[in-house]
Amino acid sequence: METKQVYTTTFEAARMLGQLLAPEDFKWDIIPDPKLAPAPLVIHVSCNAHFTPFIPHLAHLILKRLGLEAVVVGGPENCCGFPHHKAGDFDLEPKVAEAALNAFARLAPTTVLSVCPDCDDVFSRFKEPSIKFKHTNISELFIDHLDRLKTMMKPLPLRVVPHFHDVSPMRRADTERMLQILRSIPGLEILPAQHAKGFDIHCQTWKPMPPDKQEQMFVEAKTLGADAIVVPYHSCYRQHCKMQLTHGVEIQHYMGVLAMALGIEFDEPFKRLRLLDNVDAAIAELRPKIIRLGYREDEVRKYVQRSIYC
Amino acid sequence: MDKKWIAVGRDENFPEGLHLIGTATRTVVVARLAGDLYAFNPLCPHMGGPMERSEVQGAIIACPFHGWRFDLKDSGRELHDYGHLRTYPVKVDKGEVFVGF
Repeated sequence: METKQVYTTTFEAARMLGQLLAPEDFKWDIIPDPKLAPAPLVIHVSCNAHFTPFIPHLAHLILKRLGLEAVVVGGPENCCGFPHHKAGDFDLEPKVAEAALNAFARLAPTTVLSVCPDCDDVFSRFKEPSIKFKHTNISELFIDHLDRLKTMMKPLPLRVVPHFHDVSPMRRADTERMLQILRSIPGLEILPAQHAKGFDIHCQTWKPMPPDKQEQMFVEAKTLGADAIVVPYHSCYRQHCKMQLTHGVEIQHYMGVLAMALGIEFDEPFKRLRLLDNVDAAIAELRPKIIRLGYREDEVRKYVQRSIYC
Repeated sequence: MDKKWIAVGRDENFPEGLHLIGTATRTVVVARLAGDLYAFNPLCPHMGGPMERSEVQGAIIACPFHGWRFDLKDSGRELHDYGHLRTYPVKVDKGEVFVGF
């Protein structure tokens, strides 16, 4: 008997690619250790954020730059339940969300910092009053510390088009915070684009930007002389990354831009592997680590195809 | 310690697939996969996910909560060695399926 492999694929892709793409010095706990409590700040690496682990890694590095310590919790083991919602298992979704929230609670945090709009939406629906910590997108914390961050920034001569989503108050707040961060970076110019709006709550997994709209966004950005399109979410980053090959306009996550302004160096293997534009070449680059981690190459290939070459 | 064998139903009542069975004292999942019978705990050892709703690939079952994968041909070992799913022996005697607890 074989069933559909919805969860197996979703979670194994995250598990394996997360380990393969994360820098060696960036680790996360899949089962939060109560001995670390109280941990005022927890960074949550959501399932799909494992495909671009440089994003939560940068979150951690930026917090360190601010002198803030955080415990990093991740792995599909701390899934918010969105994959279950997407699969139509609406009875499982709240149970999975509750399990993750209870796992975070074991660290007695003040705030759990998210990098994922799906997690923000799901946890906002299922967070019971008994859960005392605040759950918020990490951009909110950056805004709280923006005056200090500004003092650490170096000029960054970059002409950018911000891509955004505005379907709900949460998405509008994320957009406004991203813009506030970008406006605070000396030397960075925000260009007046008209076609950079994404659909629904984010691109890629739920409602990808249609190809004609995506093309229009990149053509406009190029016409405006943009160096980069800056996105608020990892999912948008994943959908649009490949467009750099045909349009020569880079895709940047806003946290990458902030890190550059702060002089934080980082490796970004997702983009490097995608811009190879060749799955065999991507696998060849990953092969030493695939062997070291004991993964099956055919399985990794499937996930590279699904989650990087998408 | 000797196993206590509990009858869980007639062999013909377990077609291919996963079946959640309640006895007087226990709940167990009885699975028929590629013709072979297995029995295991209905709760994932990670966070109590409903194993009767597992995804199945051969004799490997994956919990729908977080995708922990257990090999029923290897005593329920999780493929990343995160833990074990409790499995139980199964026998068929005169058309009746028994699970050894």
